[in-house]
Amino acid sequence: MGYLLDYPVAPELQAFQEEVREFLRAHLTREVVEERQSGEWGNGLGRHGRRFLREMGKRGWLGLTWPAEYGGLGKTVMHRFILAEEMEYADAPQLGTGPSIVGPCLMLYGSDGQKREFLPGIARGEIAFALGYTEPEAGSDLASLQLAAREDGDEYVLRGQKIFNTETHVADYVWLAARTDTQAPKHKGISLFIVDAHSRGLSVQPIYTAGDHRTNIVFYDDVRVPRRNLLGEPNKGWYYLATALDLERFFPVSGVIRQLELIIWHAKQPRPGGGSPLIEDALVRRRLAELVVQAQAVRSISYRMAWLLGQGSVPNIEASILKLYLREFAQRVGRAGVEIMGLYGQLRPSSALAPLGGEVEKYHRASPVLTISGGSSEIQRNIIATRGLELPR
Amino acid sequence: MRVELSPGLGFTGEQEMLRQSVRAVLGEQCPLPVVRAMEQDEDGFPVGLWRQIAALGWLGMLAPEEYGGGGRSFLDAAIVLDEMGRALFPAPYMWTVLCGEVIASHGAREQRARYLPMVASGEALLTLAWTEAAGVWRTDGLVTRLQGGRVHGEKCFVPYAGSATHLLVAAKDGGGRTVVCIVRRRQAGVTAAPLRTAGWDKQDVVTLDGAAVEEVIADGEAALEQALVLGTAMQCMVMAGMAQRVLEMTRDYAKSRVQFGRPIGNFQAVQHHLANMAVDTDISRAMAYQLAQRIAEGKEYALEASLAKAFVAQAAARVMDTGHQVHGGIGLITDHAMQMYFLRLKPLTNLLGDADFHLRRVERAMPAMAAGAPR
Ligand SMILES: Cc1cc2nc3c(=O)[nH]c(=O)nc-3n(C[C@H](O)[C@H](O)[C@H](O)COP(=O)(O)OP(=O)(O)OC[C@H]3O[C@@H](n4cnc5c(N)ncnc54)[C@H](O)[C@@H]3O)c2cc1C
Repeated sequence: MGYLLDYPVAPELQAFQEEVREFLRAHLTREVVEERQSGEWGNGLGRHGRRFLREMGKRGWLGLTWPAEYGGLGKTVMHRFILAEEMEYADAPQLGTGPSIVGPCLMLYGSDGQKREFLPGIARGEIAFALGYTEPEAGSDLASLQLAAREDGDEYVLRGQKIFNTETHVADYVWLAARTDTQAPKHKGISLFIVDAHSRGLSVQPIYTAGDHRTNIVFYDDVRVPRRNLLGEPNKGWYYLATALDLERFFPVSGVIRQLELIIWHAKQPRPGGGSPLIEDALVRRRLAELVVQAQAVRSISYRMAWLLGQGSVPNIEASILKLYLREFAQRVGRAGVEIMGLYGQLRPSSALAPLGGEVEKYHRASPVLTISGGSSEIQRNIIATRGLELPR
Repeated sequence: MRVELSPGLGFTGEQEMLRQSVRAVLGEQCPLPVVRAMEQDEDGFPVGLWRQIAALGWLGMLAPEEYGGGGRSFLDAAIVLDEMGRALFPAPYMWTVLCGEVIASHGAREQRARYLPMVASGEALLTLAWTEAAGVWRTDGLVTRLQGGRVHGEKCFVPYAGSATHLLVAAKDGGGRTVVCIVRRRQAGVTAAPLRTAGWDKQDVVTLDGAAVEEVIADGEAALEQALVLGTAMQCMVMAGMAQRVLEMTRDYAKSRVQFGRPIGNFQAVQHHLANMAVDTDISRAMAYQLAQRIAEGKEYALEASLAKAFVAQAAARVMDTGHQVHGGIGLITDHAMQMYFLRLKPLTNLLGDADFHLRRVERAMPAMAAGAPR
């Protein structure tokens, strides 16, 4: 592991960090990585990715910070931080919607039945969720979502359309936000549901996005969901969604740091045609040095974030600063990488001549999404200015 | 509402008509689905349309009339390239016209007579085989050798080598002098292996294994320098056209996409993005067209070409990035125009020297700048 990732780890956590690394060496096989990189299986819900997640589940790591009664290990936020960073560095499948969103929400607001039915399965890596929020007309303005959930006896009937619901084609369930009250103000008519991804009336149409990632348009054509799959009370979904979001603010930074390490490593290699290594060029060195400074900056705010979460606070503004800076930094790294590689920086992974197997090219190609999804850079700046600095809206 | 600002040149009525006709032909025959289909096409361009643009006189527009050309101003070609950028026209137009110009300027009379009529008629598809494994636009490290009328070597990043009829190959002769060999593409000694590029444009690795040479341009240094600077000017035009289209498209999207109860174009953050795109686009167009005019007037323009590319390549990249940002998720769908423009900028910024390469050329010109103290 390179120098750039050597974040401070308290002595009592070092054994855990070593255990995670050991685990990754043993279980993050080529098949798992290739399946994930294919972009066909979301963040790791193919056959190999699921086996990997079940292995994690066996160690209790999918519910690392959860209380034991829900199948968790009750570990600290710092453990969770280390796990997230190590996994991201290794390009392992992400924990996913179940462990990071559904689990925490159910623990806070779920019924006993829901907790029993879903939490152990999530913690064991046996039940995978897709995230069903975005709609064609509701992206940044998620609260204006329209997919209708109409009460009908003991069931809700879902009708409408979602877009960019990435893992719906490979997940077991969808964590779905739908409108249950069309008259109320937009934030007050939303409810959250657990929907069987194989329900009748639910159909999925693939769309491919930059960097070859498959995501989906999902049609709900009178999909029936039992009332017991509604989270908490109806019309409180927005509130649940927002509070749960605050609890899971992990933005691992080691993925981009790994990219930067790769680029620096590449710059030290002899060049095709016998040229001297790129790093011997003072301008290349300066450009990389600036990115190393920024890497240090991003690591420090990520570490601060973990510390704040560990203190039990809800670091809203700090999260926005981290998300904003991290993602824009990642775009700069991708751009610098392909630019430094010159003509070779245009080669896709399928090209035999592509440096680093085309990894940096693909990273750059996929990088526009980073400042759009998960709250765009504009939205983060709005939050920092209005909530953080209390400027008028 | 004026999205298309004037580059500061008074175009003639004839030039305006040329622009309209190029826009109409490409709009009709080469809409984005055709561009996208060409990604997987072996030739990489619509062959029928190639014949049509030859008939329209676009391929021969710069060549002297005595060789079947139109003998027109470079500014006319600039307009065509601008519109081709706008339409993402996937074809070796720029390379063929560029190589034709190199032959026109540096080829012997028989060479001009041999190739220029074929360029004008659309029969010849020329491309430049310059860079080698080192991936640099220089003549000092060239490994490719001309020996006894045959050429040996390996060329990388050769645009459209798969469908070209002739290659202009940069090589060293027995005396170590730089020459440009004109080589027929379809012969036993030439193979082309396609590279898979981000921009889905066609670039190949070309192996020359004792390929027979048809003609040799003796002053290779001058010929390649012209290829570099003229090609760079042409790329600036194409990039300027792409930026213009992305600006318009993004402006339209910002006006129609509603979030939080109003068009996102109402948000000042988005307005500033668009204003930045307009500034980058406008400056790029002004620089590219003024460069084109300088070329048309027959003035020296090597430094101006590098100044323009060092700016335009970066500005156009910013326009693509910001366009993506304003489009949000939808622009990332691989079929979406935004993603297509984003990816197709890459060959233009990279081939014939990236911004950094041209910045270094500007650096080298600095001793002659401000030689005396300012007044
Ligand atoms: C590859 C990919 C995977 C995804 N996966 C999922 C998934 O699994 N589940 C899911 O639910 N969603 C998913 N999404 C959707 C993602 O969350 C949305 O793309 C995101 O919320 C942005 O919404 P939008 O695309 O509609 O953009 P828009 O909201 O239309 O934004 C367009 C532009 O307007 C700007 N803008 C909007 N409002 C304001 C404002 N108030 N002030 C200033 N600027 C503003 C934005 O910042 C952006 O620049 C995915 C998206 C992608 C691309």
